[in-house]
Amino acid sequence: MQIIQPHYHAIARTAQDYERMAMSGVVAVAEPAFWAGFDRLYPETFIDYFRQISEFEPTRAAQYGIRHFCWVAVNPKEAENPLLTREVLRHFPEFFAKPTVLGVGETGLHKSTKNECESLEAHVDMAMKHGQLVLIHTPHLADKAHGTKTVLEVLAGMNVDRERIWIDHVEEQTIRPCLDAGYWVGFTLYPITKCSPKRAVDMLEKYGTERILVNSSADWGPSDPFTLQECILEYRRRGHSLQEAIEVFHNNPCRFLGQNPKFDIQPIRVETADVAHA
Amino acid sequence: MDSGGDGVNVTAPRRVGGSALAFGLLHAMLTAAQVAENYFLESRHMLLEVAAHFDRYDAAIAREDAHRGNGDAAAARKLAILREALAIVADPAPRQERTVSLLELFARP
Repeated sequence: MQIIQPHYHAIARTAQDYERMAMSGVVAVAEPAFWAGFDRLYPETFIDYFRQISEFEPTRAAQYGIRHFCWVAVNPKEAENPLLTREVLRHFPEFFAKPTVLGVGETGLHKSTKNECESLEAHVDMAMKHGQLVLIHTPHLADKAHGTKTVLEVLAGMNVDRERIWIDHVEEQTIRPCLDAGYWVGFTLYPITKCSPKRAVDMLEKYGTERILVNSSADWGPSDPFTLQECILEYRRRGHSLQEAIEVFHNNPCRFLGQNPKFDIQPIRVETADVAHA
Repeated sequence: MDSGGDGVNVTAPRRVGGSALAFGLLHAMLTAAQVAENYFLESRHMLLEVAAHFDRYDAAIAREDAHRGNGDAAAARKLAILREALAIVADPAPRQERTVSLLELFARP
C-alpha cells in the first residue's frame, strides 16, 4: 500500500528510517519547520534551516525513492521574540518560490501568549497573501483545549480560506470544533504524549475520513515514524478495506497538499481484476 | 513535538549506614516525587487507552443495538472485570499491592 507521511521531521531522523519507510510503502513526506530544542537567536539560523529542508533534505529522501516536501515557519516556542519573527517572515517569499515548499508551518500556539497569537496571525496572513497552505500546531497535554480554542478564535478574526488550513495534533476533545469550522485536521501519533494509533482509528470511525490527515510527526524526541503504519494495521484489522485505508493514508494527503500544485502526487484507486473475463 | 530528554534528577549521595551495596541501591532509587513525575505521562497514556477501549465498546454496542437490540454477555463480563480492576487501581489504601490484586482478579475463573 502506498502511504504519504504528511508531517515528518526528517532532519531529526536517520537514513535507516527513510529506508524502512520506503520498504513499508511511504512514497512522500512533508517536513514542517520545527523547534530545534533551543530558541534560535538569529534570522540567518532559520534561513539556513529552511535551506536544509528545502534543498538538501529532498536529495536525501530521493535516495530511497521518497518525495520530500516542506513548510517554513518560526516555531510557536520562539514567538516571544517578535523582532526575530518579523525578520524571518520577511524571507518567506523567497522560499515560497522553491519547488518543494508547500506553505507556512508549523505555526500555531504553545502557551497561547499574546506574542504567540500575533506571530500566528502574521504567519497566516503571510500565507494567505501568497496563496500558500497553512499547517497549525496546537499545544499538547494540559494546554491543548485552551490553545486550540484560541487558534480558532485567532483564525475566526481573519479572512482565510479554511480549506487550505490544517489544524494539527487534534484529539478527542478538540477535533469537533475544528472540523465544524471547516478546517482540515491532523492526528499526530506518538508513543506516549499525543494520540495513539488505536484512538486515531476510533476517531476515524466516529467522525469519518473527510478532511482528516494522520501523521507520526517523528522528531528528535520520543517518537516513531512507524506509528503511522501501526495505525494503518489497526484500521485494516478492524475490517476497513484497502481502498478505505488508501483514502485516509494516501489520498487525503494528496487532496490537502495537492491544493498547492507543487504537490503533484495524485489520489489512487485500486482496481480488482475481473478473473472471469480474463 | 514535545521537549525530550527529561531524565531522572540524581540527588546527592547520602550514606545511611549498612553495606556499600545498600548505599548504592539507596542512591539509585527514585524519590516519591520522581516516581510521580517520571511515570505520569506513561500512566496518562495507558489510562487514555483504557478509556478509549470502553468508548469503543460503547460505540460497538450502540451499532449492534440498532440491529439486534442486545449485546454479548461474555463481552460485558470482560468489561465488568476491567471496571473492577480500575477500582482496585484507584484504591488509595490497598490491603496488598495493587498489581497482586489485579493478577488475582484476572486469574479468577
